[in-house]
Amino acid sequence: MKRIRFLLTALCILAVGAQAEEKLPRVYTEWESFHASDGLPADKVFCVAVDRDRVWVGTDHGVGLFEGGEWTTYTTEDGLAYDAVLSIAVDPETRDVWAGTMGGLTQISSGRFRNFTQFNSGLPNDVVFGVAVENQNVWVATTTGEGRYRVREDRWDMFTPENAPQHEPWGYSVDYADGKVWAALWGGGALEFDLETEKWQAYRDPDGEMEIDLFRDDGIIHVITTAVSYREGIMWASTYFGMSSYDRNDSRRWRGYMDHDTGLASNFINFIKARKRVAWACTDKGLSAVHYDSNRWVTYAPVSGPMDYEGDWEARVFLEGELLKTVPLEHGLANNFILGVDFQEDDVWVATSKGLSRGSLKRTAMKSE
Amino acid sequence: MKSKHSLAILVATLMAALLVGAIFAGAEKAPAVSDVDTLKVYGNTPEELRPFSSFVRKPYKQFFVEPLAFTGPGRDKPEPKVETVKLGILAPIERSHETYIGGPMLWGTQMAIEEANAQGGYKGTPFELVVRNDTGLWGASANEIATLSYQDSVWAIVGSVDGANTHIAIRVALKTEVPMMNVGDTDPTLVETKIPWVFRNIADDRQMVYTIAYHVYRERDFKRVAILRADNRYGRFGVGEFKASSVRLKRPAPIEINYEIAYNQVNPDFTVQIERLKRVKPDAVVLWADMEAGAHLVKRMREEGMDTPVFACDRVVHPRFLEIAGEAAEGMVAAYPYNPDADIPELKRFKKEFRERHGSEASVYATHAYDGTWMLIEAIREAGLNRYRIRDALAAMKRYEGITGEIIMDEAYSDRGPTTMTTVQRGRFVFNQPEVKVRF
Repeated sequence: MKRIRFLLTALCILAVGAQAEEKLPRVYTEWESFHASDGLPADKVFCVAVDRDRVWVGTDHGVGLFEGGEWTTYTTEDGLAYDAVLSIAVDPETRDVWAGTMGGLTQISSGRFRNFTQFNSGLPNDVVFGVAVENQNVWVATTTGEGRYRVREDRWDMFTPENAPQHEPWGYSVDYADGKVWAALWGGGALEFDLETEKWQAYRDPDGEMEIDLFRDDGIIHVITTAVSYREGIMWASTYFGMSSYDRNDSRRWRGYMDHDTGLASNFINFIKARKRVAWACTDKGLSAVHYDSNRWVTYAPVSGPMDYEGDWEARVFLEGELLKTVPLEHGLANNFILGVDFQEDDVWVATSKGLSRGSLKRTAMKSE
Repeated sequence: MKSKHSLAILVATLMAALLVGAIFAGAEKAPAVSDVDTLKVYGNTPEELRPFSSFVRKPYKQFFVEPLAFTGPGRDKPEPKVETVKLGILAPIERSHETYIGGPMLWGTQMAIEEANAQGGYKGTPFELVVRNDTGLWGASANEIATLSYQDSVWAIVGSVDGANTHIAIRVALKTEVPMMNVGDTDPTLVETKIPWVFRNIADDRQMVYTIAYHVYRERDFKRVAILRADNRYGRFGVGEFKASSVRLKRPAPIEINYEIAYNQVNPDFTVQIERLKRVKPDAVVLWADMEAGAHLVKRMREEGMDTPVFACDRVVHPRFLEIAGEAAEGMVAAYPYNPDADIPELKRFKKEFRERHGSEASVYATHAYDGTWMLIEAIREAGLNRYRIRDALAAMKRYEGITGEIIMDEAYSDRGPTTMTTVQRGRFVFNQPEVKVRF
């Protein structure tokens, strides 16, 4: 019986997958949420990072680990640098956890905590907005510059306007993929660091004006950049004014995306993360996913507007800015104010201002069945 | 006969034309606002100063023309029981070249809180001020906001001054979700970040620069303008809009001369800058500097025989400036966020009390700190002890009658009340002089 059920489920997933080949991003209709009452350290979840079967979250009251269906909390009492945790990255090789807090960077390794601060290390500043693991290095985006910690050498490099093309050193997020480190800068657009050449390149808003976006597809939308994600040669940049993509492959093409001309939930985007050619934008009015090639969007948002997050939710499907359909959700996300996202196989984990949510493709497939 | 009749018509027409001309000559035409009906005006920017208005009829998207909203949760958090209602202040109080700004800010804030407590505080619970120093070191302000938010548990924060430090601070305030009332940072970009937790009750450099630009170029018709400025963010962003305005008003781009600042000591020499200025031979100088450096620069200009008119930023409007510059300051014009000599009884009372208590005149930062603190107090009294509802109450304050006059908050939550100008006459700053025809 179990085998038959498994086969049926597998067939459903394959069927949905085949459909999804044509229609990405997929519509997740099955969501569940976790709150402090379920064991989360706190309801305010700044970030989420998946490490195989483990899920790590950073909250304003410590780090949470979800493993085997149970939550464990780590706070300053356990050795964490600070209880407000803005960013988390996991080393895929060592499985060490790097937590960027408002009071320094914490390494959690085999249950041991080691803290890096601006007073005991080369960490540029104690407020660590972003962290990423690149090979044997750990990169941080802090409020006064980016840093690279060479773990094996126990040595820090600091990047500021003195040695990188940024007129203000206000790091907000950092990401690594395919030989490039990308940093999002508050007021400085996006920075690309090529590991091979050890050179930086800056991408800024071509019109240079804060109060307008002159042309949509001419470059990064705005210099108040909140996050950058680089996958399959496409760089995605989120801002509080919309989002941009830059195809570094053949076309070298920029595209701009705003809420009035796409399916984007809101121009106020806290974070962005891409998986293959689909980017997930974490906005203040919901979660949006877009496929680069089709410009097909799926946005998850409360039906009656963002303030009604406890009411009904729906998934809205757009193509080239036109609303194709809405799919009612039995359960919505924990909140519309989305702060982070990560992926666990086909599942998507979402950090919100009032809880953590998981969208399950497997359960979506079973529901479709 | 026919020619006589024609002559009479011609004379009558000419007289009528002269009469109409005379009427219109008396009325100053204000700069036109956007003639593109779908465009909205941001920051009191006239159409001719709108970025790219000469080339592109309408940008793809305008920002800051709709009110910023905070759509996150938190408004349902219950009010806790507290012994005091804590407000924070982040200001350069010591170890900074900006203590002349931070000190009066602190005093203005303290006076507002004392008055509020004398009225019963918040439902009988006194307000308490938690003071944090903004050292001027980049990044330190971030740590202080985290401490104020989490350890001190303040309900709102007043501060800060320096553009860079305040930018760093507001990013943390956005994450910790605490309202910040800015009363002394005139960097135009501060509110151009879309953070719905930041409010500013003082006119910014954009408005003051526009007022200077129209006076310098349109009313005085200067053509060769040099900029003398501090080589820091204050100087760089302060004159940014002036440089853009010069070009947009079809004048040559101003020549820029910078001076470095180091800690809180000023080297009064400025030989390099004065020599450069003499070589440039400008017919007007726009000065964007702190009061002490600005005073030495003006003094050195006059010592070197340069009588070029100087148009300065509001930071030079300070007794110490007059003390250092002495006779050299005569005739210097500066932009200013408001008229401190306005006939407002509450302003007069505050100035008197401030003078009696601190032995000095209340600066623009003291008066705006007083107003800003009162805006926070009133928001708390209306909303209760909940940062989200306090934010909403502040966002709803479109107009506020303060001792500095009417504060008019725009969609980015920044005061757009009109600025003024002041001129040094017989050793003192005389406000609303010159009587400029266009103010922003």
